[in-house]
Amino acid sequence: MPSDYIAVTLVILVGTVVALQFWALAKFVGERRPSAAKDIAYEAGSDPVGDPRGRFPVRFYPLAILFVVFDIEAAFLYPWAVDFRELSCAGPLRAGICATGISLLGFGAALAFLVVLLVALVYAWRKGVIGWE
Amino acid sequence: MNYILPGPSLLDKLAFIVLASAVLGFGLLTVTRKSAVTALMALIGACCALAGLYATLSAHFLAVLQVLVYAGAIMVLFIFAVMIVNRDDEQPIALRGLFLRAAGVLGAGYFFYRLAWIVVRERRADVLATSITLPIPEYGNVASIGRLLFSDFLFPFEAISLLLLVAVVAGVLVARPPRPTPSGDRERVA
Amino acid sequence: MRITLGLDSTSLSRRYPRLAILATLFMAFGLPLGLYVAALAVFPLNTPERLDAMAEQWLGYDLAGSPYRYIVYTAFLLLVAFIAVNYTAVFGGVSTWVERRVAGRMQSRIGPNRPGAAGFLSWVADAVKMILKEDTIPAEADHLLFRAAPYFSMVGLLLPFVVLPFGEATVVTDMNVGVFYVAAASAFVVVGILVSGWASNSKWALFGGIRGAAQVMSYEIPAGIAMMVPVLMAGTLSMQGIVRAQGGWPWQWFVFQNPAAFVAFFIAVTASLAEGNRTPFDLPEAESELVAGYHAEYSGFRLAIFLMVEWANMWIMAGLAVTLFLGGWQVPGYGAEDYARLLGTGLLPAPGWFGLQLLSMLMFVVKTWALVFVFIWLRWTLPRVRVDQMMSLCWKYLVPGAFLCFVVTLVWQLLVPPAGVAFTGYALTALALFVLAKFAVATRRNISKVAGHRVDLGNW
Repeated sequence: MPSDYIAVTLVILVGTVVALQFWALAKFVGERRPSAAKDIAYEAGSDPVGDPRGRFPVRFYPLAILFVVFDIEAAFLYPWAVDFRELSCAGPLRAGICATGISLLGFGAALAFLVVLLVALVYAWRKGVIGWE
Repeated sequence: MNYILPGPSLLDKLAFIVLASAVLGFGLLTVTRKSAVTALMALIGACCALAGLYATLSAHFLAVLQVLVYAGAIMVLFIFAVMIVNRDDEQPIALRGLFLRAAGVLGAGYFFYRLAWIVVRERRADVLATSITLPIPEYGNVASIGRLLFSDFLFPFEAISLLLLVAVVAGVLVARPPRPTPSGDRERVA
Repeated sequence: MRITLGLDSTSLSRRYPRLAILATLFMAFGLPLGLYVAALAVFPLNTPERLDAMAEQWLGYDLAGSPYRYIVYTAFLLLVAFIAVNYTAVFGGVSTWVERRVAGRMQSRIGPNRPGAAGFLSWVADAVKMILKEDTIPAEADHLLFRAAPYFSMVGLLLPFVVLPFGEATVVTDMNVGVFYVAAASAFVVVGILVSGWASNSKWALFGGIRGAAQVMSYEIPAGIAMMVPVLMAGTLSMQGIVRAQGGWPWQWFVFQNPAAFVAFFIAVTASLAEGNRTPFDLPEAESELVAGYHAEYSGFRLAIFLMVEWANMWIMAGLAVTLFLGGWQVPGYGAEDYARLLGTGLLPAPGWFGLQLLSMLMFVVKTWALVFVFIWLRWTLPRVRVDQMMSLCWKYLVPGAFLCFVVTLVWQLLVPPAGVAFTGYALTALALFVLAKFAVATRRNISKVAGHRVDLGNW
């Protein structure tokens, strides 16, 4: 396992070196003719009007909440997806096949979880969070 | 049966020093930066370094979860909230007056004293001894977490789904559009 | 200090045509081939045990007992990481050329054809040009975040490469949380888009950034749930484990093994198109609405990084779909025991084993390029969707659809016996072949309506 994390660290490290190399090329080899006009934010050719960072529509907020909720839900389903065979079978598995029938407690646990979250999705849907018409 | 891991190697110590100082450094940046978005970026850095610390403790699933949920989802939510509110010009709440400042310093001092005390006590209890004992060989991986989650911790797991449902309802209610009041004006919603 | 590089690829290739062809051949075949061979030679040795055996056998040095073991191993991993990152950059470049040529064909024009044979060197010329261009930062921008944003995107791109298997043994590292890790890595892309839009201090960039974040995070949900279907079928999160649970023949691929996986494949591909900001989901950078979206204020090498991320992401999207649903690197007719037999009993593999490894890499690369071609094809065929269509497609169709696939796969996995799964494999493969044949016939008919019975490949 430590080798996994060393690999991840090294890939990020090499990526950083590549980015630095791009930066160095642009800085030391590339041409530079700075001017004030270049530093103005682009607004279709005219001078920028007003504050570009106006407040944002609040409708993005419930969307972000919905994302967080479903992200967490997906994170919880991953362990279940790995283990679901043995969890949802009433008896022992034979060659990966459940012959003894489905255990309602094991199988129903994740389904109940899913159903409650689908209720959340339907609620958000009815309240127009994801419609945007 | 318990499985004994070899004690902290040089690599483990190095990883701990680098990651712990990253957590502390990013944490400091988070509380000192004035721009909210910069502070959030520092918080992402702290979360990722924390994930690295989990990884060194062989909590692999938790490490990835930390990045997925905190550095990903929660941070996007925070950034959205900052952009929606957008009060960069507003002064941060600062502790004013001698009394409040002294209280702050005392509180922080007590906190660090407690932390130091715990470290000293735990050292005496040989927690930092030469070997770490894992309860099962596949400790911290996804399959063992799944087995625990759906047997011993089934009820908390189901309760989480209700909690998430409540979060969606609250999010929708907080961001509901202004309702027209009887006088015809639009009521302001915080 | 300033060095003028009299580098004008067009005039160079006109003056020295032979040099141009040689350079093209090198860039087109030598570079990628070199990377593949290096990967093949280096990746399989990338475990401490194999390194120990190698040092023992070839150098007579006892590495296992040496205090420098970890340093040698880390240096080896550094080489692996270097190859992976270079592959990303080269693929990003080559795919821009492929995309422009394909777009040219689809729109009855020629496309870039000057630098190098068939214009192949244009991606090198573009890269050199972009990197050397002046790097401007808007005066009002948040300088620190403006600089950091492309880096976030790049990290988000590079992280999945760590677990993407190119062949039976050709993978940087096979994590046991593989699929979950890939899902987590896309978090950085969202952050990169959002921060670049915010830091630019430009209205276009901010709109693009917010739109992009809303889109990428929304589509992460159906993508994540659809990717869980192969996890359910394989019973593991490890990418190599998922590939090993499939077979080489199409009817052994997960996509044809149950009807829900078939649907989940399309959900996953659609969602990953949206996550990668590819048309029809390129709203964050819709040039007719938002100039260039979140990277409107970027120029020079920072723009080059954003574009590289965007194109190289196609490899991740296609590679993931191939790994999870289309059998990955599995070679038809060769099973796990063949790899084990050719590997032999020793820790160091025999030459025949490397041949099989090359074959498995070839399978993966060919499948992935085919899927990349489909992505390019879609881009030049479909119109862009509207924002509200994008949101409702995700939350009203893909998310419930992905949940349904998940539940159906659960029941399927528990109740359907192996014979039923095998029958479904044959039936769905036959169905797919039938649809493809119908499609080919219809295409042929359409072409003959316009151009007679002639498919013109003359201007390629």
